[in-house]
Amino acid sequence: MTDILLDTNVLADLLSIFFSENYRASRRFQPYQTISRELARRINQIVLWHDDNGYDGEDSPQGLIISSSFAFVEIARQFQAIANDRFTLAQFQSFIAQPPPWFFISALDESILKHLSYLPGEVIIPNGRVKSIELADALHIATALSRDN
Amino acid sequence: MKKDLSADGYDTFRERISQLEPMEFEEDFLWIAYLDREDLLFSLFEEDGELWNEAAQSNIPPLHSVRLLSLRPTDSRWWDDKCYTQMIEIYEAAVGQ
Repeated sequence: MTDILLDTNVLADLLSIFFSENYRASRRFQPYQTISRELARRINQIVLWHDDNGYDGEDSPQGLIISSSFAFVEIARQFQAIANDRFTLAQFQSFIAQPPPWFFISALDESILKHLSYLPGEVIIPNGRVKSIELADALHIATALSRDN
Repeated sequence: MKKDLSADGYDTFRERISQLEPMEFEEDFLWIAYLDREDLLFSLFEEDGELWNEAAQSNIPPLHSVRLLSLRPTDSRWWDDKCYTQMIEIYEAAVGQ
């Protein structure tokens, strides 16, 4: 099982696509902003599997698309700027109330604490610069690592 | 997304965690924020569907938003508003230091 964990920016872009007319018509994710062609392909693979099998569970053999509840909090903190008329507050609320079967909102809980303690304080970004990681990034990474428990 | 100006640094957080170990807790309680999908749903939104402004604002640190949401007294929670009030008092005392 391989899950895909989305951070705040990618989650916002996924919600934008999910609530678009294009998605309603095609039921396919297309590359868009932070969602690369490869990521869209992997997301579609997971979505298709769940559509075909009607499987709704946290331990899907095909994996799930996951975001921490923290990512939703981050969107809420800057809702107008991030949603930017791409999805409404009611749509945002409805997604949390009833996420699609291929999506899992991971709890912010004690299971991520031990992973938070072992992350490096700095990372090398693609242009070679060393950058301190922010707590928000650390929470997303720790959420991903906690999925391997 | 515009970077959150009040974002916490991970180093600061890790330092705080490392300080927890030798700490003695006055009432033998260590509160760990817990925010799952249902908690998020019931804490983040008002009954009319609007966001709960107390937590959904970018001029407080993100972790404080999480604290507010995880302790906000709602009908689905067993605790009263005492925990919430205490947390606010502790937070404000820490910020004031």
